[in-house]
Amino acid sequence: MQYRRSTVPKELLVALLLSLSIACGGEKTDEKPDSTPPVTTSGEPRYGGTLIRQLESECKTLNWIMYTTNSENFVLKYLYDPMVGFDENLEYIPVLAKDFELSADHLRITVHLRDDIHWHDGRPITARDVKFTMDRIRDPAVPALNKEGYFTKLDSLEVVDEHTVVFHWKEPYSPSVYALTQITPVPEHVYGKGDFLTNPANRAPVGSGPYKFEEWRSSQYISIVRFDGYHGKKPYIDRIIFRVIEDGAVALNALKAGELDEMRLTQIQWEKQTNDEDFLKRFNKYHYYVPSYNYACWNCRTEWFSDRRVRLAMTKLFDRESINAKIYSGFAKPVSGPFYINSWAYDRSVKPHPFDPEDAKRLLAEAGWTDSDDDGILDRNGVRFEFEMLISSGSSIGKQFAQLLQEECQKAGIQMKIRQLEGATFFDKVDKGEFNACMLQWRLDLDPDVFDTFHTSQFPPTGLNHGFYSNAKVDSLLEIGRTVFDQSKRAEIYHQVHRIMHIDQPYTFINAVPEKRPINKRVKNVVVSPDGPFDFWPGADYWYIDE
Amino acid sequence: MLTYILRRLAYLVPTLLGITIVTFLIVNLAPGDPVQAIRAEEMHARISPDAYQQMLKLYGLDKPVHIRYITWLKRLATFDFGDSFHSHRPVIRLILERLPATLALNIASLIIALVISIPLGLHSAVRQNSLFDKVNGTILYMLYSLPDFWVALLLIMLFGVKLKILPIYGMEAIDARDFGFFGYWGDRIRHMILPTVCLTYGSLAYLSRFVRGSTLEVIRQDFVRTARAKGLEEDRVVYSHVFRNTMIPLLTLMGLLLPTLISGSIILEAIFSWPGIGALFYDSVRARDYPTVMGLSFISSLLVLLSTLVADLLYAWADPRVTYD
Repeated sequence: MQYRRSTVPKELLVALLLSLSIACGGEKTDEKPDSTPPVTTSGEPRYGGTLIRQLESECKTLNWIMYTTNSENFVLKYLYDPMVGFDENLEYIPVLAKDFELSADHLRITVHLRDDIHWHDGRPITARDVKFTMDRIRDPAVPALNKEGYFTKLDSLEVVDEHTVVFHWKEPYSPSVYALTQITPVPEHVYGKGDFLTNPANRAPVGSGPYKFEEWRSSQYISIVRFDGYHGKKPYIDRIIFRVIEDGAVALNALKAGELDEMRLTQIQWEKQTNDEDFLKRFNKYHYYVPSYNYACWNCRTEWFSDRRVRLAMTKLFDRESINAKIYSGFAKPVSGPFYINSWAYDRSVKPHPFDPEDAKRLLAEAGWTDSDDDGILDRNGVRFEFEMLISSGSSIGKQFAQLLQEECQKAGIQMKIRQLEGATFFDKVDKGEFNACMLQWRLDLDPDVFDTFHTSQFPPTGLNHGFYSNAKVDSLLEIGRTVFDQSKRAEIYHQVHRIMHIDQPYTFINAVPEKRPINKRVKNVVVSPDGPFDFWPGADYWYIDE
Repeated sequence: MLTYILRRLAYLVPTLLGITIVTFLIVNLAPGDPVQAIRAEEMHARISPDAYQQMLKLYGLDKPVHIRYITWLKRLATFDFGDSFHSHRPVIRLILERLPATLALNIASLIIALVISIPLGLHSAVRQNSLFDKVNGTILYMLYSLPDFWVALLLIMLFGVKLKILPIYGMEAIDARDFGFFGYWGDRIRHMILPTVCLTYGSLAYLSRFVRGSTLEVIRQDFVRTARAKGLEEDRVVYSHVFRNTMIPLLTLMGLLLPTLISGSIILEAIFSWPGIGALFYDSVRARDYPTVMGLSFISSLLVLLSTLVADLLYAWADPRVTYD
């Protein structure tokens, strides 16, 4: 298989080679949300202007290997180009690479770098930088929390010549191609000197992207300017300023006052505070589904949830329709399985279990849960159906979910207590599997491999299978899923996983909630991929401003 | 006097040690760790258990808590607060970077609060139970009970969005440096107005009631009656005789207020995107950034202890009847 970059200008690049792509295939039209305005081009793009974006939290570092937050990603996205990225249809596209190919035995991926690419200080980007980056990601003394997991099956990385690297994998591992998108080379000549963790470049990075770093005022703003030596097409906007505004209400005021060009809205802001005529005249409102979903996890090691019928009953007590209507005014999508709703791995034929308290009661009785002592609470062999639902205090929505479920549980004779814990405390419990049930959200990759979250080998305290879910069939499918490279075959495997989990209900898969973002109409050429306006290539690089 | 100061300073050491042990234990034994805190922010499915263990080891979090405390103490002895777990920058740099913003806001607010509340307090006391006293008291208590985050949002909406006469967040305009000297500082002051107002109005009630109370005590004393009996004008009685004596408890209070100067308001700093200490502290606690949390709590406890000492010394200086020999 070969992935080759064509010589036509990037903006005209059509998706090449699809056999390994992550795209959502034919579903695209259905995924383009109805209210999302079309691509905002109007005549000739103009050069110049300053774009002001919001950061919801202060960046801790601009080191591409060690960053952990969305805010940091927003800035780094402009400063660094990936070796391989995703285009707006979420298909692989080489960026710093000219092309890349997978060997027939699936053990080697050879990447040819372009020979016309330069760091912001003018030095060429070479295979040695890629090697250096990989070494740092795997360096135990470097906290590469977000990156390391992709390369556990990487055996070694070989530098063949100035512009060629070969990734040697220990075994055929289909997420390996996706892993390529997770290496954005950092410059060896900058980071190779001195301590990596405290390197001055962590606050003044030397990148490879269309914009270069200008200034960072702690907790105030970060500014970046156009890089004139960029290998690709010249971007239009002169300068981008990221202002730190943590409070959403203030950010909205700043947006309305013209001090911000875009931000992320809460549900209430989207519905109640941004629908007046003036706002709609000045802003386009976009919504899109990033790869994530909300769920309730049932701990299979508890007396209550070890039985799949009980878990299914819990799902049937969960009125997702009314959550969707009450909390999201019909705006969230109920999900039925563990994959990104816009991914080929998600089996759209599996419809979420409907809200059905009567059937839930029947299932509970079938599993032996009856109110034998007439106290209004179900019991079995002397154990009462009384459990605790953990939620993180950071999520107000989690609390609303939990309260709705609590009401229904009460009616069905189940006593559910809600316990709200502060973020890190919550995860401490969840990671150790010390809970009855909990509610949270997964942020997913575009690669659908869910081995880490559902395989039996991934139990707490070391693994991420928090609820101790175990199904031999699922285990073997997940094992096969990461060795199959053909997308349609792989899709079939994950569809099977999806269908089994629909029966097993290790989680109650709740919903996928769209991210909501108004962008000032003075900003043109906004392209929204199924994953939003930023997380693809070239993303927001070619926006321009036309007042 | 000198021996007194030395003795007090000597007491400082064990007190500080005790405080740091307790804070270190609380901070470190609180559930969760820096890695889990990162995940609480961005729930990502792909953080590998190996990476997790490695990171704990990297920060020395695999060692028992008493060993960690001793390591921290050893570093502290050389005035090294360590590096932040998340930004890997020296904690002291983080603090110094944020300090000016918080100091500017707090000093401005304190001065304005004093300038307003001292005269209000004095007048209320002199005209005790008058209409002025009652109206003043009612208004100040009303202000006192308005939540600052709510007032802040209202002010932002009014002055920033509707009237568009004041900036609503941050410390300076993006292009502030192109404004020239006066333009630059003018812009800074404009940015300070709303946060300062929000930070100040609540303390007016407290301070002016404090002044009123201590004035009332002074005003009933014999020397005031004597002064009036001598035929002095009321203004002179109030401003030179009464006021001076009122200042004594106020000085003590000022001493105790010193540490609050460097402690930022978490909520207001967040609302106004003010790059101060409050935001740093809040973020560090949430992120379980132990070195930063410890650095901040050490500095503030040191300041509390020192300022109690200063307050006591000021008291002796202002009131000749008090000596510490």
